[in-house]
Amino acid sequence: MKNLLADALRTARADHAEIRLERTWATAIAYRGSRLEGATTGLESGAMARCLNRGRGWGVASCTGLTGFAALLSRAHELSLAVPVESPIALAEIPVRTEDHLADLDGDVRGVPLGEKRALLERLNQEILSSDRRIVDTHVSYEDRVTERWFATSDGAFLYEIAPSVRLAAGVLASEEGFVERAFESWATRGGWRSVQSADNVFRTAARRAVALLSAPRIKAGLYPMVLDPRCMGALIHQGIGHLSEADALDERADVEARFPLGKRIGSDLLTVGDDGSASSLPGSRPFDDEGAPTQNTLLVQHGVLVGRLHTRATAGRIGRRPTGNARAGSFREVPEARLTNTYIANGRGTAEDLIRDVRHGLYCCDAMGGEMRHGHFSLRTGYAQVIRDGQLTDLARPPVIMGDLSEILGRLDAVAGDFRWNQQASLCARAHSGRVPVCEGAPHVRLDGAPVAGDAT
Amino acid sequence: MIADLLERTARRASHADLALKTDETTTLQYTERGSACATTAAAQGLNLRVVCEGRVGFAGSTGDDAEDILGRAIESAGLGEFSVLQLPPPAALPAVITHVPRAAAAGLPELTACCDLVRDRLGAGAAQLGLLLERSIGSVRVANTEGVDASYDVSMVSLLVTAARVSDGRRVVIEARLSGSDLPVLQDLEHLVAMVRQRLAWTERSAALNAGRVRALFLPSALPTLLLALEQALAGSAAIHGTSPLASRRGTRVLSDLLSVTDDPLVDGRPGSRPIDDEGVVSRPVPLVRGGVLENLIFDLETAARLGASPTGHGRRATFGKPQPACTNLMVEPGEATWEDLLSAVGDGLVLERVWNQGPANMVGGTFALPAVLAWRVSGGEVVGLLPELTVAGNAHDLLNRVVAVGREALWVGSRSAPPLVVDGLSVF
Repeated sequence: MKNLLADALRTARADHAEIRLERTWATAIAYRGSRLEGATTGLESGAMARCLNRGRGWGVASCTGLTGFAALLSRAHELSLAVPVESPIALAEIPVRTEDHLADLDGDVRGVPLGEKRALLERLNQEILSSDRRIVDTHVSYEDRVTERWFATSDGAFLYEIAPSVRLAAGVLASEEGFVERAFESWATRGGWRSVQSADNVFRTAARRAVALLSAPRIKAGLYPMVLDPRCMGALIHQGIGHLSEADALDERADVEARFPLGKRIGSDLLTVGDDGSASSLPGSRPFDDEGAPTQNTLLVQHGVLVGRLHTRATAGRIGRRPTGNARAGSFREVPEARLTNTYIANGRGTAEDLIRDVRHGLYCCDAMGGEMRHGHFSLRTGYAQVIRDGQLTDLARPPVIMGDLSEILGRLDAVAGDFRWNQQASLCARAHSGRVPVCEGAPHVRLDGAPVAGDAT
Repeated sequence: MIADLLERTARRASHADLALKTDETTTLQYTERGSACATTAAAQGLNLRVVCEGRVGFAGSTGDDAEDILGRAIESAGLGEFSVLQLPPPAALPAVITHVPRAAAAGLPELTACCDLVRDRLGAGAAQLGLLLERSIGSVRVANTEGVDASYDVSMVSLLVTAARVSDGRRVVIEARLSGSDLPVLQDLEHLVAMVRQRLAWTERSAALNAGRVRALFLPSALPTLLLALEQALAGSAAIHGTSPLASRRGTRVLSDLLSVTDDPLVDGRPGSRPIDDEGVVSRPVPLVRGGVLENLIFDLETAARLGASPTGHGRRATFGKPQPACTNLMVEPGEATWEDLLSAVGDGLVLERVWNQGPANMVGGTFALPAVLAWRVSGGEVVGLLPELTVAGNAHDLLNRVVAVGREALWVGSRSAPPLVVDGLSVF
């Protein structure tokens, strides 16, 4: 493949030319209740060529299959010439490297019979269905992939990677006396079949929670001191700080850039946030991004102040910065944009109990079911909560929605525990032109001395 | 490849069907900040379903290796459910335009000229303009072991124009869209430009609205917030899972009696137009709701068989996974109301133009609470100004029962054609 790509790039006429290939073996199995919805395998391959010429925009050509690279580059060159631009696009320099990254396939999923994978999911599903009479429906899925990626440029860079991934997800519906509650759990790893053997607990947790929520009381709207678990805080930071840091999105949103410039205070001194695509074996980890830039740990907020952005080569080139290795695309069909990888909040001190101990009447909010951030205002649907009374966790509560002004709420961060952990949920982050990419968040427990709750999410 | 694959399949499976789709999409994108990008994406995808020893299996591939995809489909069938499928026999295809040679043959100069015309008409002005023009050409081939082997060509052109303006620190974006099998004609482009200009003029004044329940004029661009829930509830898959609030109510009134809805794959030149579905069932218009009364659900082969119904020609297949029932061109019948009548019916309320991430959070059940990113205040039956970003909430099924006026001009937005609707009781906060 290396020779084929090198030969094709020798024919490229553009000022800058690059080509990205992908070949993926995939398995997908799903149950709805006790019924197998499907057990299928897929093989997908394709290529994307991008070309850039002086005074012109990007020309991009993609196709399924792994042939015809020279023609693809030629087409991308023609397309680039067809679109003049007002402001020239300058690409920031990256090291020209030749590297192979062969991840441990960890029990290569391609060698495991489909029947064995189905048996695993069937067993996990049956455990949920038989665990409580109030569980009335499930929607569970298993997905695995092994993906090969090649990336080469007219500068002489050549990068190769092969990596596995597995995702398990369970949605559980519990019902009693006309009340219905849902719980959702997922788990993802950049590992193989061996990693999956330790994932049993994922589904049991979802089953227990769906049943427990049936009798949980609603939370009244109001301002509550609250402790957020690592998942909940991780989701808040992904939505709130993470998307605010994607440089190309900001290029298109001058009003947001003006409202949240670098140097602006966005939270208390205790808040430090980063994004680390180079972290080991997490869902958002890669050795290089989809423009060939090495991934890295990028600081976004330091002691409450915005200090960094996530860049592609073009966004970095525009302002004379270095790319951060965040140019990501969901597949060979999509163009890379500045995207989040593994986003985190830096560790503090002490334990979750230390944070809870000082709260007289508040909430312990856990997990997240999604959120929105618009015009500096965000809302986050939590997964569930427990009421804190006199420093103790008490009743389970229906999942509250936290909403309010981002800077105001993060300014109320008054404690960060020292129990940092990465959340290995099967999260995908979507954007229109660059598709869905796997992401991950990490955080310790944190405490807000007051955050507005809109009531429960049901 | 297809003949070879069917021949191999006949030797190893009792029944089989497949859909092979090819597509080449050319995109021109001009952003509001002056950058530009041109792309072309060519793709091929084959989805194969086999029945072996009474069990059904699936496989998908973007490649050409017949033996590989067949082997994987047969492995899938080894674990699959017992088949309930009745594959359709061959039948004559109805006439419908899915492909316009002029659009298919258009090169970059013609596509660029289309964008230039819109930019020239709108001018630089006080707004930042963005343009996204997509032209797709492709083909669909559907075959099965009962003798179906049908194919048709497709062309589709869609244009999205955005005009952004910062007003009181808030970025307001006007969007206008066109789509069809042919290149847009001058009249369509002029209409689109006029609509953007009108909306920009409306942004000159700001207005406010108190929280509460109000009358709202849903423009066609905001109607997916309501119609997506209806489409999902009408799908045979929701009936099987027991999640559809409508499936058991056939013959009864489920929507306002002002509403009639048809799914019509035979209307010419629209995104959902096709002579045959992806499972070999010949296309026909299916009346879904007449005068508010539910007449039909939509089925693919599997959901029809499981519910003892006839397939309606709504099987849709992607490269990977199993077919699912999905609407083709959903058409809400226009009513009698003029634009003035509609505003008069609203009286004191709002015009809803665009909702963020539209589609109910509870898709089948229909409840939603979403930011209204573009809405206009109506007072005394007139549009009086731009509203700040509000949250609009309600239940789609409930609101479709509270329709008080239906516009007389339907507008296509993607694969949906609908007139503006005035509904009573939208919650605003």
